[in-house]
Amino acid sequence: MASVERAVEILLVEDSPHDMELTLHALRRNNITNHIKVVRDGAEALDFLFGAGAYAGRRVDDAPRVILLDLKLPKVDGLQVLQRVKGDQRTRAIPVVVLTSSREERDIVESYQLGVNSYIVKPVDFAQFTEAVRQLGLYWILLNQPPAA
Amino acid sequence: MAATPLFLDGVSGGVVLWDDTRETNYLSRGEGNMSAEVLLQLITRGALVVIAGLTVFDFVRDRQRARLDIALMFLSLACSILSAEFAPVAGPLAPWVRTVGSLAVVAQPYLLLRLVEHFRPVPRLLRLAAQGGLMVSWVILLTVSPPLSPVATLIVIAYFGSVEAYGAVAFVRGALRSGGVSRRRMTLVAAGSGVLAGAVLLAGLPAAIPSRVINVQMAIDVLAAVAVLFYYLGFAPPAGLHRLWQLAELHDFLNGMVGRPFTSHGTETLSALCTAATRITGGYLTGAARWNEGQERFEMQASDHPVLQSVAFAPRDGSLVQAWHAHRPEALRIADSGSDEIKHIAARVGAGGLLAIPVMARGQAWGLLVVFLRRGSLFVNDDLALLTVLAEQSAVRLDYHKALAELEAANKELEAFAYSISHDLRAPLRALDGFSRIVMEEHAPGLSDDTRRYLQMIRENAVQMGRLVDDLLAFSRLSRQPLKRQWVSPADIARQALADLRPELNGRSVAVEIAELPHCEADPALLKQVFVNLLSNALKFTRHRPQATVDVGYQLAPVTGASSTAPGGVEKMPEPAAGPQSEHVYYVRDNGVGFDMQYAGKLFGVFQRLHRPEEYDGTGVGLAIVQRVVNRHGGRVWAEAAVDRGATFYFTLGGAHG
Repeated sequence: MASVERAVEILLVEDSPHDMELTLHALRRNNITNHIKVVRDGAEALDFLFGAGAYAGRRVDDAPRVILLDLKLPKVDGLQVLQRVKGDQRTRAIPVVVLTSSREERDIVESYQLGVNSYIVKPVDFAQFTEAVRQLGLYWILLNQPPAA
Repeated sequence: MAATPLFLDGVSGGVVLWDDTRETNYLSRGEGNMSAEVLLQLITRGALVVIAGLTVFDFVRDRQRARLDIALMFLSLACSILSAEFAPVAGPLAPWVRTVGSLAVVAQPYLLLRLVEHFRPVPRLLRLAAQGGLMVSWVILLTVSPPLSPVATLIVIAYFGSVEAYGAVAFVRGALRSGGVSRRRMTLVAAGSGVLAGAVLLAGLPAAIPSRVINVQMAIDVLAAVAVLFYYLGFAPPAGLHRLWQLAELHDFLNGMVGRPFTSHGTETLSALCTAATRITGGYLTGAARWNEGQERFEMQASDHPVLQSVAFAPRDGSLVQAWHAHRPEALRIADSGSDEIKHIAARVGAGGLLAIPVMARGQAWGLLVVFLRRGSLFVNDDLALLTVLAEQSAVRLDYHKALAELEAANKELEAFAYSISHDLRAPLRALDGFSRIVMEEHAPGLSDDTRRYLQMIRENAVQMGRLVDDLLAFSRLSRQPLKRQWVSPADIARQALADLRPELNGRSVAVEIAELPHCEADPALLKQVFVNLLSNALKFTRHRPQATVDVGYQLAPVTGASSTAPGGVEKMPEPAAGPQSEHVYYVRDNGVGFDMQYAGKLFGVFQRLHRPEEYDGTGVGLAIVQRVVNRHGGRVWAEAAVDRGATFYFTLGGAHG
């Protein structure tokens, strides 16, 4: 397993409380419960990642194992968050998975151009949604081997 | 004839020198042969009198100062001609009649100078000199009884020839500066004046060089006739010629527009119109100003000069306002414009006149085209008429621009709308389904059967609505995606579509036959969508057949009119026939439950379904998508069916096929 125990394994960036709860529920059901940090908009996500604002003093290299990122977010939207994370030497290596309702081609294309690691459209069907979250957790938390922090 | 008694005859502006020995008065002349020379003179004189009549008529119809001056100039010529004709029959009044004719004809160069002043400034000194020359000539003609001495003759001719020549040069320069119909008329007038000046100088030769007698009479007569012809075409052109010139200008203008891009605000078109207006009028600059109803002012949308950029003006009770309210093109004086902004701009560029042409778009007054002129225009009605025609043509393009802009805006809005649906409409559905499911699965023991059933219904509806949203988005995306046509094999595409539908064949006995289909030009992704939708329908509606059959094939059919592309168009299958005017009709046939042909009209509408949801699921978008794709290819789609006896869906793809 990971060589360093991280404070936060998953950073969930999600503004909708219902989607947040469903995602957490799906993760819980698949026994992925530890160290999930939820932030509710893009600005808070950046503060958390770069140790600014309410998270002043947080170390940037204390990075999550994966970021689950919604695209339509208040203040700073998901694509901007993605741009900042992938544009910064210190956070570039963090895997980012876009988890969104948008099936729009331009969102998908732009996300990949910005360096997203995976793009998943949230299904309406909860069974499919749970399955998607399960596979996601399995892959990024258990299978994927990140560089040593 | 060393000192030929000279008397300025009226013909062609004093060109023909009166020689008492010549019989040139036709009224008093008896029977006899009319020489070619005399006939030419007769025609020339008659024509001049007719032109004078036309110009007077012109002035009476529309009392502009320019028209008055034109009429006066021709009246002076006509007057002298008539006096020469009537003098011999005037008896004792003959000398007086002749004197009046002479006085009239020497006024002609001065009147020509007055015409020049309408379109370009004349130096003050020159005007004074011309006035002086006219006065001196009049004094000579009034005080010295004929025959005039050579010196007196030379004075009169010098005045006459020089002012006439100046006028000719001024008209040439005016013609060079102007454009359009005016330019053509000015050129003809210039030519007329030039020829006339030449004739006068020629007429002066015998007086200037008394020792050499040159018979120049015939040359003078010919020149006079040519000058009159030029004058006629220049000053009083026939309506047909007018129209021809206008058409030529319009043709040039529209030709220049070809290939210009359509920008959303029509700035390109307006700029082209401004440039054309300045060129045609020989003016300084032109601007196209749109009337802003809310602000109650004109706002410059385009111009051909930076001075006019983003200028706004709100004229108060001037002739500009009158032209605007009457929807009438108008030539006006800067001072009467009623707008300080206009006066300010005119002062900056040194403009002396203004043309205002209302521009109408979609039957409504759009705005004004304002042309700042150097001075004025001699043939201002020509300029106004031509500019009105050009403005009308530009307005057609403006309408097009506007429709295009509206379409673009609507499309953008639709895109934003679809985007918003895609994001926001699905999230609540996920919550509905998700929480219902969590309750059902994790709190099952406490639930009654009814509760469980209700929750199940909530879930099903949420999922169904999710499907509807997805289908609707796919449908709207179809009209926005560009069509990527290429040569494709429809049979291969149908087989791919069938492969995608393989799960639906599980546990069923279906014989699907895909014939070899002729290749065609189509967007492969969209054509696949057509086959997926038609095949999935065929599979769906044969669900209860113990042995289902689905055939994909084609027929050759004569090309029919486009009338059958109406939504839900249903028509009889034409008899197959080969020939140059035939096209391939692809079809998907099944032996399913079919439908009643009386509902065929509803088949291709969005969300239209012919079956109850509990019988056959679906969103009612599939066939609407098929029709959209087929229509975008320029093809047609229709169906034939009977209840319980299967259905056949036909479609063509338009364009080239193999």
